[in-house]
Amino acid sequence: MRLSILAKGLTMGLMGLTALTGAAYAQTTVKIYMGQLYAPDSDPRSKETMDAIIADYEKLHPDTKIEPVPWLGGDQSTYFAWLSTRYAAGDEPDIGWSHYYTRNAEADRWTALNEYLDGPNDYIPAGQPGHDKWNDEFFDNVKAQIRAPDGNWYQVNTNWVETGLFINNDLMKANGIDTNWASWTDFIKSCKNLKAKGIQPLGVFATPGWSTDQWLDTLLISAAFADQIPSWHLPAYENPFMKDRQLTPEEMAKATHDGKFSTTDPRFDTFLDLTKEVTDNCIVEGFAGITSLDQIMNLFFNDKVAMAWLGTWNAPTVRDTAKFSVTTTYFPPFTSQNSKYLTQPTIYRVGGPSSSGQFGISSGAADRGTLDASVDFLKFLTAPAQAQRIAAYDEGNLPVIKGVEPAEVAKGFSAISQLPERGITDAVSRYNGEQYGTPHNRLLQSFMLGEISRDEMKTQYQALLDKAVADQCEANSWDWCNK
Amino acid sequence: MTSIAIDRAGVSSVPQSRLRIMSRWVPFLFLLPVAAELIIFRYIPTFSAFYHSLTNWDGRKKDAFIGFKNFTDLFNDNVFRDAFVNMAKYTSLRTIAVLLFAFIAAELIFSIRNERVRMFWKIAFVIPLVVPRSVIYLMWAFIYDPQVGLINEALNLIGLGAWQQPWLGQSSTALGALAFIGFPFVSSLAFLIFVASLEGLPRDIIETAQLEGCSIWKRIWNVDLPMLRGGIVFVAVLLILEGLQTTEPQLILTRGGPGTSTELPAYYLYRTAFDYGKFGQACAVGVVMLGVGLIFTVISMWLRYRSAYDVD
Repeated sequence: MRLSILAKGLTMGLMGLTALTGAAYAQTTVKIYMGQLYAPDSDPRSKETMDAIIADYEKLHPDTKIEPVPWLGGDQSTYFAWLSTRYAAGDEPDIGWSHYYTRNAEADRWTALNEYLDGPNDYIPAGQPGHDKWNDEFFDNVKAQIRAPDGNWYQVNTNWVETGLFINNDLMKANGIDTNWASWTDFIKSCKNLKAKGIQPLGVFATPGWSTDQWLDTLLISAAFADQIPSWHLPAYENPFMKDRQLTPEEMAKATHDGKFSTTDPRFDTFLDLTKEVTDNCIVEGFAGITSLDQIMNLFFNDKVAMAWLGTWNAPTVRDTAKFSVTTTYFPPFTSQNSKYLTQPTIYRVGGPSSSGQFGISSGAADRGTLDASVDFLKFLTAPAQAQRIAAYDEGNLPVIKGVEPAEVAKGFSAISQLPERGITDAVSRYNGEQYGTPHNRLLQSFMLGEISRDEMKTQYQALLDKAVADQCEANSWDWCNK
Repeated sequence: MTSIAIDRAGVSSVPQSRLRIMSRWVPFLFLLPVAAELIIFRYIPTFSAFYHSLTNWDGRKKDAFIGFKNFTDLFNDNVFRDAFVNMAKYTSLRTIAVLLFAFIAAELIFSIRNERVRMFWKIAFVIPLVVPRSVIYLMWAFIYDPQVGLINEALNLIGLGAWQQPWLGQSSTALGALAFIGFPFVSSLAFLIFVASLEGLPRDIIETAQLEGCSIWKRIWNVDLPMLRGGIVFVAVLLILEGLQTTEPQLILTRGGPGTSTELPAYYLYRTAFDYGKFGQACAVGVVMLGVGLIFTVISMWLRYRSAYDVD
């Protein structure tokens, strides 16, 4: 009898142990890289909040462990080099951060989320947008912009950014410069006045890689081709939410293929004229030797430039660092005096989905068996309850989830966010890849410095456009390519 | 069953034949980890790069054989061609400047008779070697800054404000500015090698030269330089390979610009792989760089051994 009890006990114990071990083995680990949203060293609040969110999730799902990878630091190229290496080793994070255009250009690295976005998100209370269909919780204009050329969504966006012109009021007042510009021409006049007084007007830098000159470049080229851009829209990309949307890589490629976007078009000369004017009169001297926004901020904080074009993400630093009065405004509109191809006075916002909250799921997650858990955690993370907690410390980004409020310092950018969308996007994403953006930036940099002639610039630029179209046609086999 | 007997002096009486075998094989045993490291982390990646240079490898899935397309694309790319021209300029400038200044510094130190003073200067020159390179590049970013930089401020102070330049912000000065990072180049491996070589020169030769009334210049030209030839060529080879592999100044200071003025092959490779995701083409760049590096090394070695006094 005793032996039988002992045997039963042992059997039960073994079963329990087996169950426990089984449970331990069944645990799924989801590795996530959130960029600066999880930066334990530089932003303890991010760690505190994200750890709390993860703990809440793990309480609901004891079988899932969320493993955040701390922010790597450095610039984006450091991260992308790290990510490429991880992919090559098959050890990339299940959920990763990336710019939407980089992600769309490397679509085979990421999971198309369409079927999940069409499903419910149970972490959102019933009756609220997103509960029945996850996709409904995100802003429609953002979704429209991040959609890949193949029609898929490879990421969800929790926030986005705006850019603004930060003005040193004290310096402007001391030099009698009025900043209530009515037009781009007035703005250029102020630049000239500042230069005449020995003050560098505008902190913008230009490199072959990413730079704020890319923003300026998109403003100028969008103004120069303003009357043509709407006619380049393809029906496949039309959506009711964005009348003034940016052209997709396919639309850009087709316009180039059809000879509508070309260096022989007089509009291209208008673009070059505008570029030269703003370079010679406004942009800080040595702009081609500056490689980061930090250097621009340093010049601004030390009274070396009167204005700096920065992003919402810089606003908290400016608030905490500037020893002078700062106004955040935006450029005045271009008029027909600047580009005769404008249908009305216009200035475009430069901002958009390129923000801290851009998350996609690695295509390797399915092979590793972590796809379902990754999708589930992403649903939890993007639910308004969690997104609001993140928005509280991630002050420099504007939330784009319905029901989530921006931080105080970002609210000033709301007016800028209402401006029309630029028609032509940053050079790095214009043709779906940095391999076309970098040569574009190089040529522009040389032209701005006066190191190559206009004709030389146009010849080389046209060759670049033709190559971009040929490559894109080869990669995507669009039906119009052979026509 | 075998046993090793120990005699009174504690010396093992291992049979001579076994000792011979051990002395023949033990060095190989110690070399094994190094050889394994070399094979796994050097030779296999190198041969793998040869293979992948003939494919359209994207670092992940795509890996189809495309023949020599990567190489033809490379040589048709003006940025790649510019990168090699820049590399030649950058490496020549830097090799000449580093060799010259390090040699002058080494001779100055060598001429100090007081041992303690000489040691002080050696330490003073070598300590900055521990500063990480990235910090040095960031420091030079401030030195070259057009608005608040040390060089432009200094020029302004001495009344040469008209000579102020955006050193890194224009093609005419950017590559030269990169080559002069670290000026006056005394805190370098070259300096250490030259000092050690000079101190290793036979004293009797130096003393004889002095007794014969040989001036310092004549001694340097006729004694020091020929006897330092090995060290000079060694440093030159290192500098050429460094020029071929340089990426940090581009990453930190210029991103290869303005235009293509500071683009170098290694940075081109980095960008092709990690920014563009074209790993196959990046491997092709690596293969070309390997070839160029080998050619320069062979030439340098030939120069070093050609009628050298210290080699049979």
